[in-house]
Amino acid sequence: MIGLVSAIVGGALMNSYIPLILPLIYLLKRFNKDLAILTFSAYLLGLSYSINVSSIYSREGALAIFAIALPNLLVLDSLLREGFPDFNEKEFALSLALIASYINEYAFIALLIITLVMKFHGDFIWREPLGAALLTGAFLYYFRAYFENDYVGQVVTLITASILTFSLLAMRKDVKREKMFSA
Amino acid sequence: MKMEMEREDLLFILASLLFIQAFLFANIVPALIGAGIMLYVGILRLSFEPNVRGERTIGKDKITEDETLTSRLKLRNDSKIPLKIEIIEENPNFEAERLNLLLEPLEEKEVEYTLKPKKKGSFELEGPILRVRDLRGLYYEELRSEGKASVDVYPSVESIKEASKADKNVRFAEEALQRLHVGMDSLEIHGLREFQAGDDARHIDWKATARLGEIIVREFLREFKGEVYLLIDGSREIRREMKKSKVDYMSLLVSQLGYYLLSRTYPVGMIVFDDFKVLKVINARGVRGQLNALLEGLKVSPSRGLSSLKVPKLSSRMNNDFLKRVMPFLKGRKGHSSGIMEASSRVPVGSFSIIVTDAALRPKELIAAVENLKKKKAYPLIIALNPILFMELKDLTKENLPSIYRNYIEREELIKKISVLAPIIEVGPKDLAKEVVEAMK
Repeated sequence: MIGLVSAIVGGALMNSYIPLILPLIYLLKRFNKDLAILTFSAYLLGLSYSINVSSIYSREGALAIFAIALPNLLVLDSLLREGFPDFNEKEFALSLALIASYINEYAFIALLIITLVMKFHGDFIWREPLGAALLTGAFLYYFRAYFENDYVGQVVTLITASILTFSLLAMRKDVKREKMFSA
Repeated sequence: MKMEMEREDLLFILASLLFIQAFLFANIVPALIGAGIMLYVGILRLSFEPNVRGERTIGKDKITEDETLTSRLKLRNDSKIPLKIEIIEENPNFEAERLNLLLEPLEEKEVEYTLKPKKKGSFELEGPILRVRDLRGLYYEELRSEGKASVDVYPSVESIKEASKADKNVRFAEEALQRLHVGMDSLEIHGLREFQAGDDARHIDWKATARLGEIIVREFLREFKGEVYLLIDGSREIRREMKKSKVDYMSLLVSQLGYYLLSRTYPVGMIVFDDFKVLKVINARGVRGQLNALLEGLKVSPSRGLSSLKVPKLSSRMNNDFLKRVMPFLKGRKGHSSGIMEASSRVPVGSFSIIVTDAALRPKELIAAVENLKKKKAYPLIIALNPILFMELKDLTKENLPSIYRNYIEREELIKKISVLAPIIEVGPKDLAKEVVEAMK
């Protein structure tokens, strides 16, 4: 549920109110998880269409990472998890703080990082993927003079970094994958 | 209809669409979200380590069909992430609920659940399958837990009682005793029934006959305190004939006969034999618990392959003296005395004997055994399992129907010949009570 609050507040910070339809997707999950994920996919395409930022090096570009990308990953995570999202006292307090942080972007970013650590700590192997993300950030920062006015360069860097990270880290692991609408 | 797409694929498609959107609309936001999704899926895949160990122990190895089996499963998550585990019992002969549980990293848990048998017989139980999933339901792995066990499921006393209550079964067992022609009729009337060939004409109840319009005879309680021995054929060929449900058939047949005889205070014993030797001897006793001992002694597992329907000629088999001596050695036995012959020698003098076999399997040996029993005044009755009656519908094809019919006719002729020496009842699955046949399915 904390993902939902952060996505709505983050959307408001970017002047988008499309995240207000997220509660409907959460309700849809009660009937069918895969249907909710499909609807969420359509929502993400609509959301990213509604917010237009042409460079990552601007204030809006940096804010888009924390106000749009990360909160919506939290939403995706809670949709993928089984059962209806639980809402304990700690999450309730953090949600209230996130709502209050609407008045200050930095406070929102700090609270979002705390939320991410709290939600994912102990669930994942972090070292390699975090290293890859930092490396991509460093690459973009180092070559900012080349990419500042070139959105294609920025997009290509992001795509290449994602595909390379996934191929090098995850693809070498052979796993059985769950089918949609299987249970 | 199930969608064959994997959840991970949907997320990849979504990321790809976002990347395309970023290109087309000169917008960095979809590229950021797409990169985030790729990284998220990568982390989930990298983190998925299905290192779970499971060891199962089973409470009892012998139960009756109305009892349940307690299964204790010790589980340990040796991975660094929490995992969801579903416990799947795949043995089709047992019913178990599907259990789900969450195991934190390095956590150990013990779960207990029940297994309900669906069939009777001897079963090998493998350890249950552990379906290990990540918390997001993207990946899974199926692992087999340790703990092989063998379980014997016997018919319950209740089901035997129920089956014995059915008129048909009582008639069947009574007929068996009647045909033995041993024991004295008492003066106490047990009941009335239709006239059958071989009945004494003095027992006809003329009043009932006139009333009902068919010949009715009086049945008297029989007084006999001798022992009854069941000679059960456990040879490879009969196990082949009894494959699948027919193993149940044998145990039900024995349990019904045993229950009926024991309930009428006859001491009942059993001798199980195969082609070459006696496999098991259970001495006749009339005590409580003897039925369980009989069923335990009956532990024969079904054998693979098709049963032979061929009926050997009484005169042609082993006519050659040389072959008679050599064949046993070729087949790996020491002498030429057969298992049924040895079994007949073990029956005490003056007792009843009921031979349960396929009469057409080894007619010469069967006849010799019957003569041996008669010499010992242990008058036998043969319950002949007819493999043709045990055939399933799918085994009957247009091509093999004529040969099956031919074998059936030859078989009937052979049975007629043997019946001169000893009473013989041919049985198939339908000779058990309806309820029992239902339970066998």
